[in-house]
Amino acid sequence: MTTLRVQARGYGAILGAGWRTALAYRGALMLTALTTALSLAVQLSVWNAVYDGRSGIQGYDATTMTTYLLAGNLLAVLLSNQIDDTLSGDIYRGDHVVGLLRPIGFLGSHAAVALPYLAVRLTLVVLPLLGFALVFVPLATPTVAGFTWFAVSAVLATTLGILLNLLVGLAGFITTSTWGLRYLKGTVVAFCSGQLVPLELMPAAVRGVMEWLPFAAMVNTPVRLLLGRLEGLAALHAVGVQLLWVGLGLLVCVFAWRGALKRGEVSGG
Amino acid sequence: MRRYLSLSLLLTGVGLRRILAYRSDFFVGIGAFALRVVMHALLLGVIYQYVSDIAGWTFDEALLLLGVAMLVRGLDHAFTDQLWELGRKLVQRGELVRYLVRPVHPLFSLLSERFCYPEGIGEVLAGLAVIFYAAGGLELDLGAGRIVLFGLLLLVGALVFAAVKLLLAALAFWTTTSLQVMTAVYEVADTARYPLDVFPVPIRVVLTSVIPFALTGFVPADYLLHGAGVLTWLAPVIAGVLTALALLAWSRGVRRFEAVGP
Amino acid sequence: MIEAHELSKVFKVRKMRPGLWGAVRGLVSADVEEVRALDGVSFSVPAGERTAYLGVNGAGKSTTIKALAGVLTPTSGHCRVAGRDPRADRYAHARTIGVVFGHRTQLWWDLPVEESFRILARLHDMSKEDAALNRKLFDEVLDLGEIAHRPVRTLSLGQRMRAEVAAALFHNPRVLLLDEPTIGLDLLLKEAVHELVNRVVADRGTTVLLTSHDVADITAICERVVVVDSGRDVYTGDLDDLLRQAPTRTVRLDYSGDISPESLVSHVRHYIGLVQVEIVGRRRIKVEGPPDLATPQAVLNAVSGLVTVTDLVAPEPTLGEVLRALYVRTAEPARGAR
Repeated sequence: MTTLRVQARGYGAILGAGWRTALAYRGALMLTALTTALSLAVQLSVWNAVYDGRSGIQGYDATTMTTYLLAGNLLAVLLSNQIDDTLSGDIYRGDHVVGLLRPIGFLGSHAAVALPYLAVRLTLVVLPLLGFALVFVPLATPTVAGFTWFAVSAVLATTLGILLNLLVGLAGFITTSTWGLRYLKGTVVAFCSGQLVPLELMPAAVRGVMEWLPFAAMVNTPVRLLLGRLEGLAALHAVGVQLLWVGLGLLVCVFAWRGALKRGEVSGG
Repeated sequence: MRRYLSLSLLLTGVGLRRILAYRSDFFVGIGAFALRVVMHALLLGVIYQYVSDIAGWTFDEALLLLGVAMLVRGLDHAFTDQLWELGRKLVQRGELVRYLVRPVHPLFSLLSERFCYPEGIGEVLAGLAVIFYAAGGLELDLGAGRIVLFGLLLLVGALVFAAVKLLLAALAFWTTTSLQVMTAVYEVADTARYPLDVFPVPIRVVLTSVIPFALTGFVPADYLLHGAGVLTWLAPVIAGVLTALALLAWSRGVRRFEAVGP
Repeated sequence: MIEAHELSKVFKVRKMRPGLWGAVRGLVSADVEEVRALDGVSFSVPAGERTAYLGVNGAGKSTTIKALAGVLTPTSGHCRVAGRDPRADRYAHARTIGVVFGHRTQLWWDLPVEESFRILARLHDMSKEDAALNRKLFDEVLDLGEIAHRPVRTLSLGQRMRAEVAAALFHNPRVLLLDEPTIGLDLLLKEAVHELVNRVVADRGTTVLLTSHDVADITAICERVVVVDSGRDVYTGDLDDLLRQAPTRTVRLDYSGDISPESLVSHVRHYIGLVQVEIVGRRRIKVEGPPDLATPQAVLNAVSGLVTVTDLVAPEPTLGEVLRALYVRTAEPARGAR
């Protein structure tokens, strides 16, 4: 029991420190909100031109598409959490050795840093943009069921984002520098998650591949649930697949961490 | 000047050797760029599946714009990549001091750590390939003068990129790190690779003056496809102003760094 | 060679309130607090001298070094290095000085040390002969053989620190500024750094200013000291003179003879006067008191005829003791020679 309490207190301390660190960069986050808005406006204008004189593409009318892109981009704001950067930085400098000495799990403490970070992004970027869009942009209204599914699915998607970032950070044990890998991750997530375009619009072959990748579970699945494009059994199935990916991600992270420990030190002492 | 040139050569060699130290990550990075090319082209393809033109631009024309944007970004990427480090941690950790105690211009000293970055060169080559591919499907009226001016516009575009990057990285002098802002703005650059005519006026203004990413793709491509317009002649002016601003921010920032204490 | 005149530096520090609620309140407003790191420090270091710049944590040591290196602008006052304001001509200044900031690397982290030397030679526009000469010198002093091809990142702390010092000395600077050059090193590695500095500096007549917490650094490298406390200079002078300012000296005596320890102690105490005498072992006593009283001669005189002296030790006072005494007295600043 006491160890549990020690652990809880340790994580609490890390959450507090993470929250303060994240808040320290609030200026940057407000700018992030602006650029996200700009990026969204750019995408919406392009699709606006595409929809010029056309009622629907693959069952997406202009309003649904707007809603999809809005939800997708805002969700993507929550997928970036910088822990890949902090973790691989720790490994590069050999600081992970210090992390090992703390009385709480190393990976857990890194993952915990993501939570306050996400909370700050949620309050300073996502909610203001959402509020703005609700007032000024015509959007499709989700059903209660759709919204409930979305809430569950979005949490899972964010968890997947954390796990993916942990995994990329851990790759630092192999490649030391992870810049290229992080860039690759950014690219793959942006395209394969369906953030920029609904996967249904992709050519059949490409779509087939992407739906089998875990990235689809990070944006495409939750947003389709929100729009009511997956209902009942299909919704259950989609969330089940997400759960499967989360479980798999956890396993891979733990094994990667164990393997890395066996490899031993990477940086000079 | 000659000294700086010879130093650049030396440091380019050093930079290449340093990349070899992280070979696997480097190749992953190159792979990521290749993938990015494919993905962007794919996205364009997906959109053009449903329309024949966007704001009067056909698929081939939009592809050309994509290629130009990549080439310009590659030019900048090859020479100013170290600015990311400035935004990320050099101020935060006080590591900038090492550039201030060397007998060369601190900005040169900083940039020189990643000169002729091969990833950037790769991006330039990929951009060229896309441009040639797209041009194959277009009937371009190409005289020598036009190509020269096009080349100059490419350089202007690269300067704009570098200036925006320096400006954002220099923000770190006041905010200790500006990586998040840089990343966010660069994502705009990626999504802004469309004909300017698609956008409503406020966005056009932003993309030509506030963060003028239109100059890094649309303006040169539009010139090559449709000939000179107002923006063609405005581009160097905007780039000049922006560069001056960025250099001012840098020197102010360094002064602040020295006042606040590394 | 180095002059500082009334250097002051005030930092504005934004206070972070503790706890979650503090962080939320920090969103809205922030308290700014002024911290006076330097409060009118003046000192000078003549050419070729090796001076230690001492003070407790937060006494403004690093701030001074940074101001002298030209990477920090003082709030008021001015400094000159080799007759030049560090900020006036940055490049000329950079060629004049070599600087080591204890925990910030100036080497190319991902490159071998050799490569860093090569770049430094080019950056400083060294002649081929000078560069080759120095490469040979540091090759030998650093024993680079085995580590020459490994990236700096993979070196041990001791190897890296020595490489760091070597890099600062590579372009033959006339002034060497060392800010905590041995921080985190063990005794042997510290000595290796001392040896490196002494060997190179002695040949070239380099002027050295060193800050350190470690008394060993100071006694091994420097002959002069500047002591700062609470942002002001409180002592400038020879290291030996400073040591002589010790408030007390100790003499230890081993003897043989039949007299009981207690009566010997009381005898010595009466004979010398205002000193403390203690039994510290079998047939061993310790006499502690003001430097003019607790001298070996006085102790010898006191016991002559009573016992046979088998050993007499009068250890030098340690710099640590002297400094501690000095800090206590800072309310009334004492100035030594010069």
